[in-house]
This record gives sequence, C-alpha cells and structure tokens, in this order.
Amino acid sequence: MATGFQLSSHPFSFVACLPTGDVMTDPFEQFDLPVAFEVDRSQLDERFRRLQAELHPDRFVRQGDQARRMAAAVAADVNEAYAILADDYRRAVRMLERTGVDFDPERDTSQDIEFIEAQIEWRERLEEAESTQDVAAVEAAGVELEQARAEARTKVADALKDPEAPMANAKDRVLELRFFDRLLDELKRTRQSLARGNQSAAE
Amino acid sequence: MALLQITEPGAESAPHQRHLAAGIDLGTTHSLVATVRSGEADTLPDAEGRHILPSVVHYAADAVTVGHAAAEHAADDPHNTIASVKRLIGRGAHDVARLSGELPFRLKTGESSVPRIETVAGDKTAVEVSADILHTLRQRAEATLGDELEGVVITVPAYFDDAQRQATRDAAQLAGLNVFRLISEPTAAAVAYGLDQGEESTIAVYDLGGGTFDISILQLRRGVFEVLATGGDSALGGDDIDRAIADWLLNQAGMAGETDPQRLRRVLMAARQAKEALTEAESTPVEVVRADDSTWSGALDRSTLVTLAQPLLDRTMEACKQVLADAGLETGAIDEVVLVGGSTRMPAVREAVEGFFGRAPHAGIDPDRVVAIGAAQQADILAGNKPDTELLLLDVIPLSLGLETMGGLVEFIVPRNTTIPVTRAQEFTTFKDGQTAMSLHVLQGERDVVDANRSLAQFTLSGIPPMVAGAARIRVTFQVDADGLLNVTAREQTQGVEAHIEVKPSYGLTDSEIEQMLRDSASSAREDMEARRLREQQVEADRVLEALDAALATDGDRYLEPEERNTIEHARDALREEREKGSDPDAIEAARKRVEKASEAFVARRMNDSIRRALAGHNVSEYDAGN
Repeated sequence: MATGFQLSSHPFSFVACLPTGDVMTDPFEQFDLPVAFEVDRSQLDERFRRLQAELHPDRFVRQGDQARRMAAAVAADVNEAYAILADDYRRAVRMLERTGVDFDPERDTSQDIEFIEAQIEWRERLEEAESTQDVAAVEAAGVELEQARAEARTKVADALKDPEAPMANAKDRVLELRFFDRLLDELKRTRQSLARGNQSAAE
Repeated sequence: MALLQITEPGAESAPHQRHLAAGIDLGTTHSLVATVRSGEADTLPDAEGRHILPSVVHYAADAVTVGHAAAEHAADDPHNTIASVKRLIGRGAHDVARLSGELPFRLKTGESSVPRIETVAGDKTAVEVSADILHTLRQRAEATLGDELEGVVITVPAYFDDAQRQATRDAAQLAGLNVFRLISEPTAAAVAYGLDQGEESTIAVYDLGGGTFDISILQLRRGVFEVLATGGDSALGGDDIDRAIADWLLNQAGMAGETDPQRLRRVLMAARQAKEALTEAESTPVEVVRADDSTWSGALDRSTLVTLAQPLLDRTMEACKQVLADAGLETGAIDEVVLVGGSTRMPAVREAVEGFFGRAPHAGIDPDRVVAIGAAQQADILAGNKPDTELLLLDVIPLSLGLETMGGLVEFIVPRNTTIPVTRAQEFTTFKDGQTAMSLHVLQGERDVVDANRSLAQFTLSGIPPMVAGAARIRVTFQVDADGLLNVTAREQTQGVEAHIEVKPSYGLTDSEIEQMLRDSASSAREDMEARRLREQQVEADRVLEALDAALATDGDRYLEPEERNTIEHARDALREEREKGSDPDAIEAARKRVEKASEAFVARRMNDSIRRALAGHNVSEYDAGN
C-alpha cells in the first residue's frame, strides 16, 4: 500500500488541505486505510498519534509563522479525518457519499414505516421515564437502547459490505443508526439531570 | 536588557544550545513563573526570594508597581490598586456590570465594548493590567536566566472561552512575550505529576485557591487530554476559612461587633497565621489585641479549625458531586486526584478530598507552584530542548461554537470537546428574494437559544448577488487553532463573492487598540517602540533562517531542483544580509516574506513527506507483526 504513494498526489498535500473546505478529501485515503465500514480502531489510533506527533503546530513553534500556519491547516485536516473514521455514523455517511449517494443530514429521514413507528415508541418511552423521574426506567431503557443501537449498526455494516456498491436501503439504515446515536445522547443528558435532581433532593 | 546575539554569517547555532522558555501561571490572586534548569522544573523567586507574585498592580501618576509592593496600597489607595483582574479579562461591559459592586476600583463601561478601570494613570483595560503582571514575571525570568525568553506557555482556566483566551494572548503580546501555547491549568497540574505519561486515565484536579475553587475532570486517552467537565465556585476559597477563624477569634475575645478596620485586619492576619501554623502543628497559640489595648491570648487546635472549615469543605464536595454528574461518572471512575492551590495544604482539605474520591491525592509538589511547573515542562518541550520526547498535548475546545440562525436559535458548527486545531465549514442560504447581505452572529456555549450563550462576534457578508431566496450558498468556515482561538470566514459559493473576516471577539481589543496600548503602556515606555519592533523582526528572521538552514541541510537535495534551491538560497542570503544590517524592521520583514514565498513548496513537500513517513513507518511494523 505504502508503495502506491505519490508525493504530489498525497491526500494531505497542501493544495487539498488549504482551509477553503472546498475539496472533499477522502479520510480513508488520508489514513491509508482500506475503504470499509469496519475499521481497526487500534490501527487508526496509532496512525492518528503518529500523524499528530509529526504535524501538530506545537512541533513548529520555533520555525516561524508560515510553517506553523501550514502545520495547523494539516493538523486540522488530520483531526477531521480521524473524527470521521472514528465515528460509525460519519464514516458510513462518507462511504455512501463516495459512491454518489446524496446526503442531507438536515432534511433526510428514514422512509421505513416500521422504523418511524419504532422511533415514536422510543421517544414516548424516554419522555415518560423522564417526566416521572423514574431512574430505574431510564436505566432499563438505556440497556435496551444500546442493544437496539448495536443491531442498527450491524444492519449498516451489512448494507455497506461492498463499499463500491452499497445496498439500496443503505441510506435508511445509516439514518436509523443516527437516530439511535442521538437518542443515546439525549439519554445521557437525562441521566445527568436526574443525577443532579437526586443530589439536590438528598440535601 | 540583554540584546540578541548576532551570529556570524553562515554560522550554525550550537547543536545543544538551550532555548530559554518559561511557564507562567497567571492567577486570580497570585502569579508565578517557572522554568526548566538542569532537567528540573521549578518556579523562580524575586530578589527577596519570594516565588509568589501577588496579582496586584498599583498605578500612581508616574509609576507602576506590581506584586507585594502594590498590594500594600490596597488599604490606602483602593481605587488605583487593581487586584483580581483575571475576573475581568475578556469580559464585556455587560458581564462586569454584575461584578462591579464586588470590586473596589472604578469601572467605566460607557463608550467602548471593553470595560476600562479608572486610575490616576489613565483608564486601564484588564488586558493592560494583566500585561503589567506578565511584564514583571518576564523581567524576573530574564534576569534569572540572563537572556531573553524565546517563548512561554501560559495557563488559563479550563472553562475560559475564546474571548478570555484571546485577551490573555493580547496581554502577553503587550508584555513582549512570544506565546508558544496556552494550556489549561488542570492539564498543567497533571503534566507536572507526569500523569500524561500514562496510557488511559481519568483525573480529578481539585484547585482551592485563596478566592476561587475549581474542580475539573480530565480524561487522558490516546495522548489527548480532554476536559470532561469543570465546575466550582468563583467566590469560594481559603480566604473564607480565614474569615471563619477571625469570626471565631472575635467571639472568643469578646470583640463581636468590632468595626474598626485596622483591628479587624489584624485579627484576620492572626487567623491566617494560625491556619498556616496548623498545617504542621496540632494546636497553635493566638493573640488578639482588643480596643482597650488589652490582649486576649488563647489557642486554636486542629479539631476547632476543622469545625470552622467544614461548611466550606462541604460546599467544595457538593461541587465535586455536581461535576461528576456532569461528566456522567461515579467517584470510582477517577484514577488520579491532583491537588492545586495553597488552601489544599490544610490537612482537613486533604482528608476531605481523600474521603470523597476514596484515594490519596497527589500532593508531592507545592500546590501553589504545581501549575507553573507543569507549564514550564511543556514550554521546555515546545522550545525544542527535548528533541526525543514524544509527548504531545492535544487539547479539545471547551465550549461549542456556532452561528445564530432564524428564530434566535443556534446552529452548532464545532461541538465542545472537538480536538483542536480544527477547521469546519457549513453552508447557509438567504431567506429573502434579492437578499444581498447576510449578518453572521458567532456564539459560544451549549444552549440552543442565542441569548443563553456568549456572543463572540458579529459581522456582515455583503455583495451577495441578488438571487431568489434559498439559491445563494454561503459557506461559513470556522478555524480553531491549537490554543482554542477562533477565526471565521464567509464566502458566497455560486458567484465566488468572498468576505474573509478576522473575527475579533466582541469583548476583545482591535489590533489598532493593541498597537495604541503598545505605544502608551508603561512597559513599552521603557523600551523604544522601534527598537522593540526591530527585535521582534530579528527574532522571527532568526527562527526562519535557522529552520531553513536545517531543512536545506537534511532535505535540500531530495526535494529541490538545482534551480529551485538556487532561488531559495538567494532569498535566504538576502534575508541574512538584511538581518545582519539590523537596522530596518520593514526591510527584514519584507526579506523574510520573500524567503517564505520562495520556500513554500519546499516546506509543503517536507511536510507531506513526514506524513508519508508517519504512515509508512507504521506499515512496516504492522507487516512485521503480521508475519
């Protein structure tokens, strides 16, 4: 793989990474990883550390402003590529976009009727647990939600098995994964506010 | 002040020459400067052997005093004696209006967005007052080390937002300091204890100073220090314990209701001395002089002190619970506890912290100096004195950054805890037919509604070609550098109309204001402005020349055609010549810019190559491991 590197066409080359944000770079290529939904996390982390160790602007504080600015631009690019590769949802979106699937995170929602119904049920369940301040119910919902999220993730992995030809329903599957990620975020906030509430109640 | 050494033309700097660097803890009540010497980081004392510099500045009509001497004026000249200025830095008129009742000096919040303090030496901003403190620390370091500092690392609270970080940087610039990096105070404390060496850990930093209490939960994961949550109380500290002891003493001595400020101050002093004595002793004698000049003699023991301090300790523990809840953690998840701040010397505080977290805290380093010491270690690495070290402190942005959208809502562009530096862009569109301008309001905070967040800046992108609503594509790019400082640019995509706006925080100072301050400031009156600019240009030229010579020596043959190399060397020689002449800062700057332009492709090729090596190096070991 490393033998395929051409300096001029390297994905982090400066033409591509100047911070106009206009050029869609490919994070898989940037980290020299195969395009696949399953990413070897320890390999990804190790490469991230190596790249930052070379390119963080802290390494250039004594080399003048120009070198420091250039390093900051590349380090920002490395951080962004890493953030995409380390996140299931963002990585899946990027894989779909590679194959020409249009993705508008603001407007797109899953078209699967069954899933839409499931979404409504989940929301109602969490809202009720929160409004009754029922910690046990929140915890139980959390465990099930984690399971549901794991199932959604498996479906995404299946739909993206062939990175060059994702299944037709891949986009819906990815949007479903996003739903669970967001709900888990909300659940985390609910847990925090319940923990705080219990604390002040105990005083 | 020592002038820079002029090196012989073509002479390489000695390979093991140490680069002078320092760490600065710019605190609310006191400040310190530390540096690494003979491999050991320690704080530097003043001529009288005192390490702590009270963060107090006194302005007289013709003199500025900083530190202990300034603090002596607190009683007789409160309006011109500025303390706790850190509470104001990077703050707008609106924020400080709430504080002004608590502060003894006079604030002007009229015409400018940056509040000013009225003194006999003229109106002062928090940036200028902080610069006077930094200038004193710089002089102390340079007097001790015998030469100019190449750069410093300055610590800021983990929760400092963009405006407060920017203002701190401005103060450093005003004090003539080159800032390598701003790092958060709890991170510096963790570095001082070497906790960055570990693989993965969750660290609680308990910081009880004289007047403030901060609790931070840090997570170290894969070389990234992440601040999971911060909390505390900005009006809680060791001073409150002093007051509790003083009240007890007044009661014991039958002086309840005493109002004479002189006597009250003496009782407070006695209280503080007793508290400090009890760090070592189990019991300490105390004397208080009454109004009739009779003396009350008694003793204060540890158990009484614990009783008196308990309400305050309980409040800090409540804050610890709160911050753990915010981080979504149980106390058992904390692997390390670090103590910061003079008040953590009290055995009662240590016991309470140990009891709460269920593990003994790190306390081997003087808690007043630990932040400065960690900053000094990081400064030493950044200065290039430890070429073999792999340590890299990656930081995250403490608060989310976003833009105001329709209906007073916030669209987040860079969420909190994103690793920095980072560049993120998002597209927006017009909502009216024929709209030719768009107002952009930059915000920082976690709330969905604009008013609940901090307004950082507002600017307008104009010259958008008239189109139907929703047709224009305005791309807004947020760039956050390694210090957490933000730059925002906006560009209309379809017609290519561009508006690059350097965002200065609403509560920050403009470049021209800073330039004016440089001219006016007491610190630069002692140094000629032109001489200073010349020196800055010389330093930057030296940096560029040194880096370029080293790069040409190692990689010149590999990446440069003879003609390219010729062009670069030509520009370099011209710069060196201008640098040697050493008379015209503008000429040096122009020559340096030409060198930078000529070598841009060379720098880029080398950087690309380090990327290739970083990845390829790994492939080799992987290959070995896999076979």
